[in-house]
Amino acid sequence: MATDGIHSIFPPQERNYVAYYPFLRATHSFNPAVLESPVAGGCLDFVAGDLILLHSIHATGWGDGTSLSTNKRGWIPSNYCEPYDIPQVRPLLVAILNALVNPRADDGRSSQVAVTTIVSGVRNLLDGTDCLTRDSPLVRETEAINKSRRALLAEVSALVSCVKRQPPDHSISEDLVHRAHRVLVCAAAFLDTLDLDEYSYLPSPPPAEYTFETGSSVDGGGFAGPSLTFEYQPVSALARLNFLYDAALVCLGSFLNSSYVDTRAPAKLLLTTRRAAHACRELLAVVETVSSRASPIVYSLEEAKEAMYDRITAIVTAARDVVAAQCIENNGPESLLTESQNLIDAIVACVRTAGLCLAKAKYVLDRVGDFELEIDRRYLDYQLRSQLGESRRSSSKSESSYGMTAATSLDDEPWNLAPVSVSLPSDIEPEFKGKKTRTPLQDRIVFNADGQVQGGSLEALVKQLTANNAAPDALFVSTFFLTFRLFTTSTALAQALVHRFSSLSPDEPNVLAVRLRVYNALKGWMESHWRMETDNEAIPIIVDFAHGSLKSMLPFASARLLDLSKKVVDCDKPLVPRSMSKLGIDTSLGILLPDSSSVPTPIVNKLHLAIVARYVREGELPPSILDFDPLELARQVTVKESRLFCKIVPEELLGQEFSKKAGKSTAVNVKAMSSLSTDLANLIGESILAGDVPLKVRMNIIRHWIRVAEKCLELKNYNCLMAIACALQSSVILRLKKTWELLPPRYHSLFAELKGIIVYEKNYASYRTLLRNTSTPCIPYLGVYLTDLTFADEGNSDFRTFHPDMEDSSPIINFDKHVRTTKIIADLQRFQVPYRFQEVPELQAWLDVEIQRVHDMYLEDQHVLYRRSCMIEPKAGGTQAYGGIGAGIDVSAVTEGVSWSEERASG
Amino acid sequence: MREYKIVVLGAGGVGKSALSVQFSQGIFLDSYDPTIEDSYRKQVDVDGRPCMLEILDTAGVEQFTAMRELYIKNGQGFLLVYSVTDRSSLLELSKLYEQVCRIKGTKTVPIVLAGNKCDLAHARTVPFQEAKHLAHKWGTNSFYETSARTGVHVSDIFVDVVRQIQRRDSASSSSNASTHSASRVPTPTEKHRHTHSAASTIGGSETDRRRSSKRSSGKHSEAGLSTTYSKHKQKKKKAGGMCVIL
Repeated sequence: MATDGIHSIFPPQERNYVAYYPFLRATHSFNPAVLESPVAGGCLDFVAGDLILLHSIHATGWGDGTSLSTNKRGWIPSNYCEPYDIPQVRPLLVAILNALVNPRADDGRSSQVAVTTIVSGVRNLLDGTDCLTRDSPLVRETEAINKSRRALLAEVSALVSCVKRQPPDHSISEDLVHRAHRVLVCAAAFLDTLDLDEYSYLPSPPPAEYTFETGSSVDGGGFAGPSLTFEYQPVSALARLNFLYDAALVCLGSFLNSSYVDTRAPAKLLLTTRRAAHACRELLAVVETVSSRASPIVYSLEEAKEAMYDRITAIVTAARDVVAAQCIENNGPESLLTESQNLIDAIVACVRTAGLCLAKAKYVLDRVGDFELEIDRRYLDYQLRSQLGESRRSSSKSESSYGMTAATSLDDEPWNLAPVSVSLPSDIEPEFKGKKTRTPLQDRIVFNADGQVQGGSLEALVKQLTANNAAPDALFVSTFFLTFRLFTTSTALAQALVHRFSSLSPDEPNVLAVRLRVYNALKGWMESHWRMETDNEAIPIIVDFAHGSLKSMLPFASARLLDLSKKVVDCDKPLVPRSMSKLGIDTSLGILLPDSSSVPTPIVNKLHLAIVARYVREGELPPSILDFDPLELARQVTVKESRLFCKIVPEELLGQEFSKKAGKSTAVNVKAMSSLSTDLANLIGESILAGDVPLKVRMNIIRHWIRVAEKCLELKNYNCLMAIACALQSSVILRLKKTWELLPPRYHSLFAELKGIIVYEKNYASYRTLLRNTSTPCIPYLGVYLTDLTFADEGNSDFRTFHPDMEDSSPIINFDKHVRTTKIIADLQRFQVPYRFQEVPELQAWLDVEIQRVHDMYLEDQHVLYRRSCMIEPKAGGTQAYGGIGAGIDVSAVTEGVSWSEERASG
Repeated sequence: MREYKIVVLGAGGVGKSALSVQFSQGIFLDSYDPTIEDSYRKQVDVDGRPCMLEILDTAGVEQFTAMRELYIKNGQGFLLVYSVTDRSSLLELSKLYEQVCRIKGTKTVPIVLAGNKCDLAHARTVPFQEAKHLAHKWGTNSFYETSARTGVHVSDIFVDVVRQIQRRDSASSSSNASTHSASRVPTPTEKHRHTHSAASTIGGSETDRRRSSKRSSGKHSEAGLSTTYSKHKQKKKKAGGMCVIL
């Protein structure tokens, strides 16, 4: 799982290690100050050449990393870095990772063992670079190498002496980790002085986008180290089209070179063919996306596209013929010459067709306008898979998705064409699956154009969660674990995961990665998403699994799951809390805000506080609302609301839990917050209608609340702003025409402005825009979330059909519904950051007392404010306008009102 | 184009939001985004006239009474929704009805009573007649049993409330209040009406408030209703193509 941190799924095998890149090297310096954002404080400051340990990476390309030189942790832009992975240093990297980053209590390693492996890693490094002894020629001759070698050895001895000072079997200390990091930093510096060809980094402008590997193709001999290409910045279709066209030309060009020069090296030829095919397919994928937007269909583009597919097929076929001809030696050189000529012709034709494709695609873009390609993780997947030689995929998939007949002919080759790489037009998506047979349960999954899962069977969703090609997307994982109880049961989920693990065949690609992801899914579930009351049922299945097949294959994983299963059964809080707001980078930075901002001093008057305190204690002489400073009142209400708001947990917001009746609902915090808003609105109404006061005083109270609302806006407490706006617009207040007439025009316009902040028109469009650009701390108006969540729940069905137009129309889980819900919840969580205000106990107590008093009053009689309002400014038309609902309120209102005012007067 | 603000009221969990979605989106979608601007706007033709409906739904904020008041204040027509599977949801509507009348300052508010989830026959706890009585008590014939799931009467309730708003507007603009019969608009065609066993007694949904207020709530006789019914039938013939139901 993406948010889980890389090290947890990090196996000791080197091959998989390469795939996850936990060590990065900065290719450019980065200063967070340039972000000009208040959240820059959470970012790591680094210079080019710094080594960074990557803990996790977010889909935006931001990663959570620790700088090995400074030992500080923070956010890093991953496009400023590249993976640090040189063959000579690899054993050291593995040693450091396994021993320190991922210490496992169960594998019995002590810190001494850890240090021993690190030392042996360093020895390995020196050995691999012919610098093991001081007398080696390289060390003797080059002073710089000698110096950096000495520095490295000094760090190693410091590490060794550090571990010697500790008692044996002592757990790994911070200091030790830091020293191990220092060893790696020195090792990197040492390698730099060696100036290895494999790793020479030159400062260049920060990479903005995709890097396509073309340069080294001529020298062949296997792929160079994979490059870290996080294609996360949105790229315009036109830019990418141009870029890929160039890349394809370079590939095809280098192809021509190498086939002319040396047709006798089949490996090299195959490699070049594969590159060329990749480049062309990437280009075609973008062309597909462009053509899907053309309406009506541009036939010349469709033709060019089809031709391009044929050309690629022709190249691949021709290359195979060349290789075959080489193998049959008795055919003589002439035959080989013919085959080579065919290949060259195919390449030339392909170059021409690629040009045609580009021209037609540009023509379409001119008409429909340039657009941004979907941000799609599959760019990266494509690269990794192809470069690690794991591109073997079922032929039916690539065949049907591209309509390529060549794919079958390629199937027996180790360099099978890469699968879908760029977002396919959505209408092609369903073509993934074979049409003739019923799709197996685990493959019933539907994606949208963005590559997001829209629906699937439980088996298919579990497969997606534990995919063999890439870690699942963070939003998918969060959604899955937050909402799975709405579409399945915990036992069914546990069984599906176990089945996924046990049904793997050993020759499936990346079988280890899938097994680790199954383990990881179970671990993530238990650590962060476990809910005792429903999930404990699944414990026996998980325990059986841990004792059974898991134990034989991944003993450490088995031990960890057994350990967790003991902990979760009676723990009602997540062991490792994880906020979904971490889905968005800026939001998690909000939480990391430095504590430097000072807490403002409360604006209070001691004398007034004493009056308030006496009122709370003895219930005498209520303080006038006018004596409270508007800002301080706004702050104290904000503190109160913020406390409730921050306590809201995602489960309260699922399945309309908050709409259930009080007492039956577990959404206690949401309920408390709604009821606080209602009480607050009633309190405001009551404060205006209370007592027998002159018109002017009543107007002053209204004015005072407008001021408080203004302060709420400044504090970004939209929930309270809404409560005040509603209260002042309620019929009981609004009908006090004479009072409102006294209000100075300035306040009329201020109030108009304030109530215009949150208006329901156009589905709260203006407020939504405002909120999108609001930073924390802020209390959003809760109602919009609740309405959205209700509609997301009621407006989207639980199931959808798999293939509506085909026989295979069995229902699958409508995962899209749950993604929508999760996104809304994640947006709410974004704001769950407390305010830094000082509570004034007297004011808090006063608020509590007043809220309770008004609450009780309202519970007893809902019409009390209406009657008071009618008393203050009687209806113009007497009793006939509103002809007595129920018990004839108007008449009784007047009589009761009179007696009430008489009471008041006499008392 | 004239805009109509329709407020949908009812207790949480009665499926009133599903009604709004069903109406504004036409079908139950696989993928419905409640956060976009025109989620709750829908243009419909009522009697040949295009109308823009803005649906204000208190979904999720039923508890926040002050907010509800704001919605009511701005609304022109009201759909009061309960669930036929939940008796308490019908009882709660009485309070909401009173609140609407109080805020609007009149008892003749364009209003439709809708019993949702009528497809769940096995779970029904509120008999058809009971709700019908309540509607009469409010002085209206505009009562439907609906199902957001199957789409039964979903557009009818919105069209009915729009007609009531139009009728009220033309009545208030007319100098002579007695011309109400002239401004009366035909109601939905019979085949769209409820097919409950009591269908023959349902009659049209003309909201002739004078007539219904004369009828005391307890005394409305079968005969009285069937008169309305036959009248309605004649009207329907005349209305012919005018009646456009989405």
